[in-house]
Amino acid sequence: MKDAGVTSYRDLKNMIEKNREVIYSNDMEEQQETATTALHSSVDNITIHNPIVNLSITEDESKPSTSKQQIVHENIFDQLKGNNKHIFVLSTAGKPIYTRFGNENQMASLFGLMIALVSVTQDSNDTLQSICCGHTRIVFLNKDPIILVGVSQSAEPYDRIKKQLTYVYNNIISILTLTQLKKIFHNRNNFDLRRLMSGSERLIDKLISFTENDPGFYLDSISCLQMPSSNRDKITQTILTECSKIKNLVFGLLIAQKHIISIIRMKKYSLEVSDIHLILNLINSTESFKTAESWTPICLPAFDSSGFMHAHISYLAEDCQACLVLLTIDRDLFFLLSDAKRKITEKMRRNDCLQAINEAIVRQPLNLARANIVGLRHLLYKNKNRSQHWSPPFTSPYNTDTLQQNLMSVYCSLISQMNFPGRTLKVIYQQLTAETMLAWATDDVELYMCFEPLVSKECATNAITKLTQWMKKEEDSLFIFNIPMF
Amino acid sequence: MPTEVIVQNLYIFNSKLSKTEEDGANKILFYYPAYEDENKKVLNVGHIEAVIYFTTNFNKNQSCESLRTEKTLQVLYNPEPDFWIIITLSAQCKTKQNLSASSDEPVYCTYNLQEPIYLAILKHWYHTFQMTVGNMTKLMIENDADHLRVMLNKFYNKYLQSTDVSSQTFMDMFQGISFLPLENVIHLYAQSFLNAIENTFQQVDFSMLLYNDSLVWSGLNKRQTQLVYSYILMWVLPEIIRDENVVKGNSVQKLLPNQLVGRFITNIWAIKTDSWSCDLGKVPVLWLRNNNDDTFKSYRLVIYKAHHSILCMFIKMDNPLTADLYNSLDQFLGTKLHLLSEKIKNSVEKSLSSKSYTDRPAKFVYFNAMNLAIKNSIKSSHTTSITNKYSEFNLSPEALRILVDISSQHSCLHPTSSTMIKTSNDNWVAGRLCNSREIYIVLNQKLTKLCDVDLEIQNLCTQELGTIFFYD
Repeated sequence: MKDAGVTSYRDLKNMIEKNREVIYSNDMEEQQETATTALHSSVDNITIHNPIVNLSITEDESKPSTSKQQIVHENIFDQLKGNNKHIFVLSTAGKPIYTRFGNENQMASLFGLMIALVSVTQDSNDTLQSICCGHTRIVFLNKDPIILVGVSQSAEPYDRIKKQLTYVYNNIISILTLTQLKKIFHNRNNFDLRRLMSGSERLIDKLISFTENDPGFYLDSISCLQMPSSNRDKITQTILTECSKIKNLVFGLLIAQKHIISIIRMKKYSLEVSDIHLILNLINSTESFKTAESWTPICLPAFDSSGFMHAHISYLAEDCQACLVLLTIDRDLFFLLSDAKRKITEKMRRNDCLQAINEAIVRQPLNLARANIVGLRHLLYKNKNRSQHWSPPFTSPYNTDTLQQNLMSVYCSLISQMNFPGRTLKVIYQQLTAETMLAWATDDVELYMCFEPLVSKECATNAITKLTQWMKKEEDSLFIFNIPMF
Repeated sequence: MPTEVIVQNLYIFNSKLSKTEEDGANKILFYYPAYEDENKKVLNVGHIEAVIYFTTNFNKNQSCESLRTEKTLQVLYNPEPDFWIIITLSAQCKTKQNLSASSDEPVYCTYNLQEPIYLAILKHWYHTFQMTVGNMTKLMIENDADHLRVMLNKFYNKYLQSTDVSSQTFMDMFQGISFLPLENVIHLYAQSFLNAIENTFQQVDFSMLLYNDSLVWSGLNKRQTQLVYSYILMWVLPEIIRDENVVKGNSVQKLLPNQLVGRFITNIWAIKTDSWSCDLGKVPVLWLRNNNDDTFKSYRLVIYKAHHSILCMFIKMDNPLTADLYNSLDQFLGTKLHLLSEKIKNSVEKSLSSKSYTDRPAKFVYFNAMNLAIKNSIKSSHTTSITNKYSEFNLSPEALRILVDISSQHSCLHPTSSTMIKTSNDNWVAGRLCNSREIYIVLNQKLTKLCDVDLEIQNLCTQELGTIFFYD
């Protein structure tokens, strides 16, 4: 089985750090990686010698004895009790790629079953989607050459789990590009993708946490940093004047933690929400960006899954923790962009933009109490045309994590009901034991409100009108209305 | 967009019946359609077995309920240890475009298939099988797997033939009982009449009285009543309507030429019938669960009809059905039942005329899980529909699906709740659940304000369900 064939490639996995070379042999027994000669070659032409003929799953997996199998299953079950959501990623040949919890090496028999289920369905020209078992939901996402499986224990809507899997898939694409992924598995069906991915598991972990907590994920929208629109325009203009001259620059984003301050884009191109979420996750999960400006290849799956873009990522200044991301298709643009960023910072410092950003970051977020609507506790407001949302901070009685989580899952099930394929709805009014929920959708707005449980229907109806009027006044500072092109 | 639902298969298997890889076909107890390729049958069963095994990794306590693929929905039901009943459905959207160009790939809309509807059918059929034939495990122990296969084949083929599973909707989920609302005096009168029968004829263990298709009184517990009631509605009433000869010209009739007022109804469809007294006409043999010790006992079901009333009597197996018994029953029942039935008729007509119904563009379903009572204006019963006028509008499939959504959300998440929904075509759909009582309403009105909708719903509840309290 041992094979002397050697492959080397530019390591994509740690693109956050400087590209470093990794050496491995394509030895079938993964534990025994023997280091051999390293050859430099570009990502685009991975050369694999003597590809090993695929082994079927049954041959590939060592068959554990029944009792051992039992123990492994017990373990997975125990882990799941503690962890509400499990996510597995594997290749269509049954090789583990990622698991959220536990050690994927112990799950060979489970992965074997997953592959078998998927392929049997495929044989009849169909695609396996989900299994329901009490409160347990098992969702499959078949993205040949990889398969993603999500298991939730809390009766979550299928579409949400499926979207989470899509996000994980997108993250993998953002590291490798789809073209590359296909090529790798085309050349060697039982390739162990973990070799290319080590280091990015953490990114996926963080992304999954993001999908569990962030209303932006539920609503397919982004959240903007609240600031007076005049300040925002000034900032956007500063970035735009510096960037519009640079050839091949496609997008520019200014980010403060989870919020977007400003976006600029090249004519005819627009940035999809799911791609922005990936960028936000990358930035918020990587501490090293704060210390040094970085040059990172990244593939934006919704924009173009076939190729890399290159991102210049840097925080504006020591005294202004906003992160500027400049995306280009030209891999040699680092110094030009670095220069542009320096100029942008200088200019922003001169015209007080840095100060405006800092003020906006430290300012107390807009509180719902300001709207003064009787009985209203919390809400999610989505501007559909702009794909942007606003949600006030949680206030009493949602003081604990559990209560906030519960409310978020109520929102989540409402959102999924409102947008269910084949039966989209306009209004849902739901009186539950702990709160009264109202979901309301028009062509431009999606609104999810949480009231006290005994609020009257009249009161709830009036709240919509009142809130809509109030939002008219506030929305200038809450949303980005001006996304200039160059 | 209309959805065309197709039942692809329905099968029953027991994995324990196959010992080796080669005899996989042995575990199949029933398979519809029968013409399916044998290998395909074994493959499908094997696939589901793998799914069931797979899910135990993640949930040990609950059994697997459903499986969705791009083109199908499979609903699983595990009624007895190792026995599984599976139904596979597919749904295609019928658009005008692909009607003209039929060569196009069909568009699947599996999202329009809802588990609770089909799970309800599987459960209902299984329980009916249990009542009319028996417990599967027991049948297999007492006889053998082949005997069970024959029984399952008889039963499920008959039910698949007579029920259009693909057209089942929200309305078919409850299998509720429509009770006849009666004045107290008449109700007591009916009850004492049934008691008198049970006292006079020691052979009669339980009895049940129906007026048209509504239940007046039943001595059985609620689950048994539900099953017997739906059995009568499915197999007895249509027979009577279709063919009066069933009532008039049967063999019992020849034996009892004196039957003047009432008639015994025999020779109705049943898997197990009373074989030894064929010349008196076959009567069904049913297994009823004993309330106290959870055992099943079999009874002969003798049905007697007079006027609009149908009387069901459950007679212990050790008491033979003789011509004498028939004769004395007929003499005791005939006139009395006829008189009672006329009293009921008067009472029903009186109560209907005294109530003034405002015409409302609304439809409702009320279901009480405590006594399995159902009351609705969607599928109206024969008795009340004559005078009850509801404005005619068709419930859209979309509204019916939203009702299923509401009801399944209610049952799994919130024991007490109220939901109002405005659909994409501006109808309002509402559901309320409290104290195991559920009400579902569809309003065909263009209302914009929540409080107007609420008022409309309240008015409807007061009119139709005056005495029932709802949380709002």
